[in-house]
Amino acid sequence: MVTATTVNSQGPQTLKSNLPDIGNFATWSVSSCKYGFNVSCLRDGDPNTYWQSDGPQPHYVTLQFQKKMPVQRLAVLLNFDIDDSYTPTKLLIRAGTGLHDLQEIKSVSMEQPRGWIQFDVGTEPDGDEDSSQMKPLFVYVLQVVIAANHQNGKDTHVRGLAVLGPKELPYTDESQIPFKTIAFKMHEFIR
Amino acid sequence: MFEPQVALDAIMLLPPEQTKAPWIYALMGRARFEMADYLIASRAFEQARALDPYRMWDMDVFSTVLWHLQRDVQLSFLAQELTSIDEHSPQAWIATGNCFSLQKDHSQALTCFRRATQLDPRSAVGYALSGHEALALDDHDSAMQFFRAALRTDSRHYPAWYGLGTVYLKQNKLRKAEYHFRKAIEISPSNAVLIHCEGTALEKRGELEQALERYNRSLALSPLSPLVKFKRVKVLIQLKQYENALKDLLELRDLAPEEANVPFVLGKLYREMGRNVEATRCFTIARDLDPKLSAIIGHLLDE
Repeated sequence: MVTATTVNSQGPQTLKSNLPDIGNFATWSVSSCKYGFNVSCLRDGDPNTYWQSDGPQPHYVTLQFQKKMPVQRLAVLLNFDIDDSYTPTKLLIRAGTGLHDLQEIKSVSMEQPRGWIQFDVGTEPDGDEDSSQMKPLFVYVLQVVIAANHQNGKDTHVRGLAVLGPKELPYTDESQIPFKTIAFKMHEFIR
Repeated sequence: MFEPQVALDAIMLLPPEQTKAPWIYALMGRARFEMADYLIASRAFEQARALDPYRMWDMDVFSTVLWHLQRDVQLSFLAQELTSIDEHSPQAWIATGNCFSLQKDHSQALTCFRRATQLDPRSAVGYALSGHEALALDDHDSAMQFFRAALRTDSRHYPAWYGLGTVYLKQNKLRKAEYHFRKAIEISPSNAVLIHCEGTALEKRGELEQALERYNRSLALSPLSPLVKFKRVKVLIQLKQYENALKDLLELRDLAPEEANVPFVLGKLYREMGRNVEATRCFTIARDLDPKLSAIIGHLLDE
């Protein structure tokens, strides 16, 4: 079942989050790109560079993880003021264990977005009553589809995309916290 | 092959007026460093620096020793001094990089280590340290590139083999990790850390008996290392040798009383043995030592 949400379309100019960025664990690919506006522009943290699609719709960004990863939220940097009809208005989130079994899990709508737009990827509410946070979603592959642009624009501009993991890893049996005393840490690694 | 003990024995045979040379102290520090005996290594290097304050050679190793001992003040002072002596030396940049790394500023540390490799393109140490920083930034691909660059300049630089092993270990490619650790051990057979890392890879693969053998060997090389003992305890518990594990854990509790993992595992062991009162007491101590454990412990106590 697809959960539809509308998110706050005004975000900060720089991404500030206490969640860890897990983008480095993934292999990133895009459906198409214009020369010089490739996938690296999504990751460079620069609001002046952007990924521009250049091909048939739908446009999408695919993240493939080496192992099953918990994903808490996604953050997208958009700027309606500059990009106009290139700005996405609706995103679809797909997840799965591989490219062959992707399921649509969420659709996110926004109106004239500016700045870093953040939303949770999971759809199952966290046990905590007073937080609106969702449980992290465990995925191998995560796909962000640009379903529609403003004023029915064809190609799309996305200025940044960050994938954030949960603050604390959920409980597992062999879980262990990092060592704290020097006597222990001293022999953990060599350099 | 690295045989630091042989080197130390040879130094002991020298006449006393020669053993007091700064060069010899630095060599002793170097040998102790290769044996992962950082406390004694730091004393030797301190001695060498006291006798020869403008010495640059081997000071990159000294900075790594201080990194291991987490002496941030001393390390920062060393980096400052080396920079003021010669800011174009790779050693000064490596010391500065280690300093940043200890402050958890890994991207800045990476810049410093890369500067060191620019100043001395034959510096395998610089490349390997860059690799470790890239790994700390979770950038596995460039970490591998750095380690390979280190091996290109010096194929016997075992920390780079070890580094490749840790990258594979993080990616859960256990057989490859094991292979690279073994390569490192071939070059430096008396390094306890390398051996227990191979043990970790074996343990993850489920080869508990072999892992236990590695931990025993590692412990024989550095009998005072609490970490190796702790890892052995975990294997012993998995092998259901509870009495031996209990004995080691009680020793560990006295050796490192402020390490939260020890009472935590001790509590789990007591529970396994059906001694619930003691288990609860251990869990409480663990929770007090590190509040991060409280969620897990709450989960365990509810069961």
